[in-house]
Amino acid sequence: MNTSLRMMKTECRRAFGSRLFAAALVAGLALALAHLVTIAVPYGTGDVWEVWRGGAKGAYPFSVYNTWMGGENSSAFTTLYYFLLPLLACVPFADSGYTDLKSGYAAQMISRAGRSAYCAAKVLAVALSAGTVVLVPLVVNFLGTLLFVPLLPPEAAAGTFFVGPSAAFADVFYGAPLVYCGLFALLTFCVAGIIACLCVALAPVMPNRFLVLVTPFLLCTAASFVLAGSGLAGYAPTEVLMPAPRFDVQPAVVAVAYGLIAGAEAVAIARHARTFEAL
Amino acid sequence: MYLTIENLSKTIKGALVLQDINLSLDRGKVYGLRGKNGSGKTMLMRAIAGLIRPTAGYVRVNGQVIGTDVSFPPSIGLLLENPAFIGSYTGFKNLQVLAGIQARIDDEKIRATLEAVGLDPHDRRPYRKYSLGMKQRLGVACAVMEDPDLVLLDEPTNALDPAGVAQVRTLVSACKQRGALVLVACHDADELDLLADEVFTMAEGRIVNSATGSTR
Amino acid sequence: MKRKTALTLGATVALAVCAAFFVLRVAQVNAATPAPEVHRFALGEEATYSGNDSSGGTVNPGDITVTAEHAALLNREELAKLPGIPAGYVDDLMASTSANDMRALVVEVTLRNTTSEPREAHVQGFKARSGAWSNGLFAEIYFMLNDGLSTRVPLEPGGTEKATLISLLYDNQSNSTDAWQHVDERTFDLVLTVYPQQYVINLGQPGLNSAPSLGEEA
Repeated sequence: MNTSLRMMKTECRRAFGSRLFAAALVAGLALALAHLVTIAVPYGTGDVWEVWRGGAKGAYPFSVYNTWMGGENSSAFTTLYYFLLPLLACVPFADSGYTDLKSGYAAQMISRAGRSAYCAAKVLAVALSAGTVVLVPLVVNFLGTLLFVPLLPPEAAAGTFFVGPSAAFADVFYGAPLVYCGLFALLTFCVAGIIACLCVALAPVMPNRFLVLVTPFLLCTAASFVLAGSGLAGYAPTEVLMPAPRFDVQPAVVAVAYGLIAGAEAVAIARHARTFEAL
Repeated sequence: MYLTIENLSKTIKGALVLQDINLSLDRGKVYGLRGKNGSGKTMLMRAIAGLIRPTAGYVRVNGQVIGTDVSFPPSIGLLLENPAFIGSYTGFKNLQVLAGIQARIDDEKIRATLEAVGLDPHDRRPYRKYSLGMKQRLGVACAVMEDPDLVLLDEPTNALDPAGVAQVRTLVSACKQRGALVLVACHDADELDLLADEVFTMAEGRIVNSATGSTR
Repeated sequence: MKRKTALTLGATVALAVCAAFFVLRVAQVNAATPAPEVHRFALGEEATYSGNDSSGGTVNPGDITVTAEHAALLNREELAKLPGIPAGYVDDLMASTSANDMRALVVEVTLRNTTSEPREAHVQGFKARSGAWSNGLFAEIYFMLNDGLSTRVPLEPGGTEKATLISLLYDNQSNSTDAWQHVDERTFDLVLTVYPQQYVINLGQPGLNSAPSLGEEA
């Protein structure tokens, strides 16, 4: 194993072994569990929804695909989870670039592995930890929902599923719903990584650790407000990741927009790596 | 010569922090850097380590120009100002993490180095609970544990008791004996005289004087 | 090492037990509410259906049959030419300019009561479906096309009744311009009931069919 790979392993161990990673995971899981208790369990076992479960009056019963946290967009916990997602993604390790630079620990790493290897390892660890901490609660919620609600295939004629015909990949949802969920899991993982890496890109220019940590969250919230009411509301990070979309988006535009953001971050980070000086 | 510095200058925000430094240093020797705060000792060490880029001139280590041929010296141990480690890790784990990057030494070597600086390798306290002296010892251990060819120690005896100072002297001596080039920056003139074969005095970013140490 | 092995073994056993519980529980939940049993019929084939209608009434299998005789996907101009549609008629969504284009799925059906008692066929419960798109009956135009016939079509014992069902489809219900441009190539279904038995009549590609012959009959 060469130095670069060992550097990546070291940073990943730091990221996944930190208390902040555990704290962010617990927070995400708490929201997932709260959603399970307030939505999935009543739908699956509550007396109030008995009629719906049996298919009375021509209704289609609840399915995991319109009950789990990513399958519906009307509950408070779903809205809260996607609203806090940028913060959850950054908490585990995203500010470590800043703390390493300020404390001088970066100098220790760089003198052993070099700037490029250190930066690449940092970006990888930040992205992986961000994606993981955001994805695990969604997976847990999905699996937990399976314990109470059946895995009925989505039915367009039922009118009870949150994916409309104009949503991106709508045909995939009704044809292969697990693939649809997998697509959004991948998208969530990638976008969480992009959001967290913004902290790494901003670390050399921010005045303090707190600002490094919250800036992506503030930018995402600002994007939601700025884009709300326009035809672009669906492209805000908190909206584009919802498998039960509230707004329509074009997948190609999402790919290009977030690809450009990732590209800009890569350029900034590469430039910092090239010009870094431990003053 | 193992380390050659030619016409090295560095300007930061308009201020000339290093001016026209010329040095030729060889392996198997201990060199001292003396000077007031702000004289440029730490900056010179950063330049040798490749942590800052010269505005003019160059640093050559073992025939390779830093910043051109290589990013940093291939075999270097550093102790610069306040040592930085991960607060939640123990001293042993901190060194283990850093040693794992180049994977040149094993856990036994790390334990032996910790003992050499007067720290308990089995101490389960996290680094953030260390005293200032313990932190300094860990910093010294980190700099020497991989038996680097080039050792840069900036104020290694800060916050150390007499026993600690003696341990540092022993370690520096050991580095010299195995053929490393050791560069030590220190306020304490007497200490430098004891440690170093040759002592350079810096002022306002320049080398103003050079003298032979009492170890010769 | 022994303690570590014991812990690993214990953790593995615990994980296996949890996994087994999980699988059993999921199987139990899905057994209680299984996936719908789908019955498919073709255009021109007499389809049966059963289940609850929207008012809670029960339709037993075979009581009422539905035969989709003809299906067509009409644009605005073609829709306007159908008998009963007043000149210059524009539906609400098009009038509000939320959508720029539309299609009307028109399905001519024959309903038959096979029992010896009067029955009602609740056609407002029938849904048109194509992939992710689905829509119910557009009542306003239904009444125009069927001369005021109720959406709860009364059927005498052994009697039949013809009705023209209509659902509207808009361009803003497509997820891309390209998808709308190929809307006439889509296949459509008429879904009679969704659960627990699902009865579906495959309408083929009605976009390739001519408009229904309602004018000649009138």
